[in-house]
Amino acid sequence: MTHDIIYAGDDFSLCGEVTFDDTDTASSLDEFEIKMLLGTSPLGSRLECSSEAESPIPIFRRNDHFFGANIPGSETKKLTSGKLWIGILFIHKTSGVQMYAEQQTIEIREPKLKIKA
Amino acid sequence: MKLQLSLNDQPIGASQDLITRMGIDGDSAYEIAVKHGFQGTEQEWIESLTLPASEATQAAGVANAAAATATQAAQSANEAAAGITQTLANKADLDPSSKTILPAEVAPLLGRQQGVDTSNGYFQTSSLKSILESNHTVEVLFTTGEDITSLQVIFGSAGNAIGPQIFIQNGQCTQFWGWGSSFAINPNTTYHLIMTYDVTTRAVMRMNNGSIANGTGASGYLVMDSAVIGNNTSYKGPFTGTIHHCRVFNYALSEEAALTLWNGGRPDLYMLPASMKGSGENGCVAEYLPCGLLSDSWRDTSGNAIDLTASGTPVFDYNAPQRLDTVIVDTGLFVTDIASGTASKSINVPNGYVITHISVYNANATELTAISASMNGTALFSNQSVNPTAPLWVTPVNALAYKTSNNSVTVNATGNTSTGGMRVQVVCRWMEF
Repeated sequence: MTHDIIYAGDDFSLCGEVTFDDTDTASSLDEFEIKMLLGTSPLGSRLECSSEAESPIPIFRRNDHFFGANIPGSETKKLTSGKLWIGILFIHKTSGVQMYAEQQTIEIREPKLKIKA
Repeated sequence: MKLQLSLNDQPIGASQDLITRMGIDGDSAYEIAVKHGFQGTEQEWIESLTLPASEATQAAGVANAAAATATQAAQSANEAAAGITQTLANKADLDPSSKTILPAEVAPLLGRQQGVDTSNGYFQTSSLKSILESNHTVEVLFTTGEDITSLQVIFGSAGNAIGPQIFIQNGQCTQFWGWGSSFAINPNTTYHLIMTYDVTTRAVMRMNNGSIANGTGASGYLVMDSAVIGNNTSYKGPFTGTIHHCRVFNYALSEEAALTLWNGGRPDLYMLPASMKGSGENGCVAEYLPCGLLSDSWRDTSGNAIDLTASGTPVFDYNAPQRLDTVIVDTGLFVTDIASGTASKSINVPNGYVITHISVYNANATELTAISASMNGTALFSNQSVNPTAPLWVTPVNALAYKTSNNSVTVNATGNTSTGGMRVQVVCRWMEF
């Protein structure tokens, strides 16, 4: 798979690694609820991933600073072609403080033509 | 916190700081001030804010004090205004531009009179006899009515004499003093006329709306019995317009003085200076202001108010004013010797108005007694007295029953009014019958 390009219908994984420094009052992702929104724009069609147990696209944690989600191809079909907008929200469970980041560097392309042999 | 995203284990984008979504800590006001050039510590920055605040407090204090002063001034002004109202009650409105009293508005503050309709009344006096037989001036300001054809006398003299005459007839106005001329007039138009006469030279000066002509009058016939305003003594020349004022001077005005009275086309705005009023030589010896409020200027050369009627019953007949709430018909101060009889002053109340009060003012040294008033023969009150210190103020109980027309009020009194005079005011209220 070409770097930062995905094709609608392909499975892909989206992971994030958080680093904490001395100024942070938090030290582990365990303190946060994580949500990821994927779409062609914040207002357009999008997929929602959550660390909540009932989320259709769950976010997993590998350790106290690493998390990720596996996006099945059936879901990526819902995304139209274009730049993929990704919004990640960290909600501190005790204080309610929300930390946020955006990314919009991934391109979604139409599905590859597949020729049946 | 920093975040690095990866797609299929390949980093995408650069590692980025997370932002607090519910509010981002920004620069403090001090930091912003420093960015914009403030030099000093944070404490100095705070003090720099405190100083203007204290000044603002001071300014607020000053403003409050000023506001308090303004409030006091407003209060004083209100009190003064109230005082003025009291002072000017039954006096007149002031024209805001000229600061003078418009004759058409010489009226009580409670109402407004339109002037005297002399169609049914006139003033006659013999007190001007000596004046009119000497050097003198007659000044009139009047407005014609619809009728300018029939004979109408504005100022006339009666007796075996040729005296000053101002009359209109057949669309012409004539100023006549042995020598005179006529000029065309229009209905419902205001004219200001002055005539002077010098007995020695027989010089006559006429001024018509600021235009002056000179001539020579008759001689040898200046024996006057009486002067009349608004009619002639035979009752055959009632003036149907409005006489705004009429003044008689005991000397012949110069052209310059006459033009002063013309007042650049607004003789109605000109108020005689005190030096020209009252008794003595070289003064206005009779100033007739039909609204009545200033008619106490009508005095003889001794300074006493004069009797406007040498004989008969005077009638103050006012034009029906516009439908005002309250109108005061004011006779002004008049004098008659009623030591042996009654005054029998008659006042015509405008139609459509009901009398609410009648006041009788006594300016003499002694009490007036047996004061009574009747309207169309029905007694309104009787057997009242009034001393010089306080006017009589009566609310007639039967006034509401008056007719809708010919509401003539007759006031009688016993006493001597030859020194100070008496004054009757009838307060009317519009009832719209």
